[in-house]
Amino acid sequence: MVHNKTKIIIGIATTLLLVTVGMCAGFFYLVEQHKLTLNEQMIKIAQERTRKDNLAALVRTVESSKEERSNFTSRIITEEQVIDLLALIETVGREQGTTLATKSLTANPLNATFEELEIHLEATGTYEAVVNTLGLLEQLPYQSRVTQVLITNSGDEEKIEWNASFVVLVTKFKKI
Amino acid sequence: MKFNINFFKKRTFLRQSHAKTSVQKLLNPTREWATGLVSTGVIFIIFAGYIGYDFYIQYEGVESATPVEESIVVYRQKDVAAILETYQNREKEFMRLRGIRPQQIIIPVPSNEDATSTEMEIPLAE
Repeated sequence: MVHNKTKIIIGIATTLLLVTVGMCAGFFYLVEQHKLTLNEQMIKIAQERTRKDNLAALVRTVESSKEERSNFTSRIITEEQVIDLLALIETVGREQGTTLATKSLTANPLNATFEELEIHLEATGTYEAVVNTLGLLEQLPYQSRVTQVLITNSGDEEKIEWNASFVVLVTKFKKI
Repeated sequence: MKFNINFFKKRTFLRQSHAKTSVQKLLNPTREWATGLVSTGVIFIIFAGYIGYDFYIQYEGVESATPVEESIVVYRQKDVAAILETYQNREKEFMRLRGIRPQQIIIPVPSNEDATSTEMEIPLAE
């Protein structure tokens, strides 16, 4: 037979046990909730840190490639340099003994930053002069290429004149 | 069977000395305290280990498991150097075809009375 005092002690102990277990479960639930929040914050921190590292690496790359970028940029003409380019082309033709004339000039957009100048040229002169002029147009110190070449001869047998038409594409910065 | 009154007296478990021994075996405060403390210590160690492991996973594991946005800009220096060299060669060839040596720079000379030319060539070191 169990005494009343023993029953009370068992009841109190059971109650305390249940309360303790319940508090532990509650604390664990709270900890788990905090853990989820912490997890999200850690992910954000890691992403920010990675973004920061990437940005720092990008800045370093930008700093270290300053000279190269400047060199690249100098190969692409700007709006203000178009006249100088045309003058250079005509000077080159004159130096080689050809009559070089710009027939048309159009700008074809490439993307948000660049466009392509399409320059139609006509040259008249000796065969050697025309070919030398073509060689120089191919080696223009800019981002350019010659896409069309047509060379024909004319004149009498004593003095043969060669007519040439060229299409030169030159990449340029868009006007801001 | 004849009832023997001395039967219970002969039973050893009812003897006073044995009864004392049985009570000591059933209730031993030192042993109960030791058992309780050891059990609590074991439970504490298990939970502490779990929490420490969980903390380690959370602290170290999150970064490695974090999905990182791949936005790394790749700078191919060899390609850049090759292209720049192509441009340089192209410029040299352009100047060679024009009859200008790339090592020469033409700069204007300040006007003075003795000058007979407005330009001079300064050859740079090869």
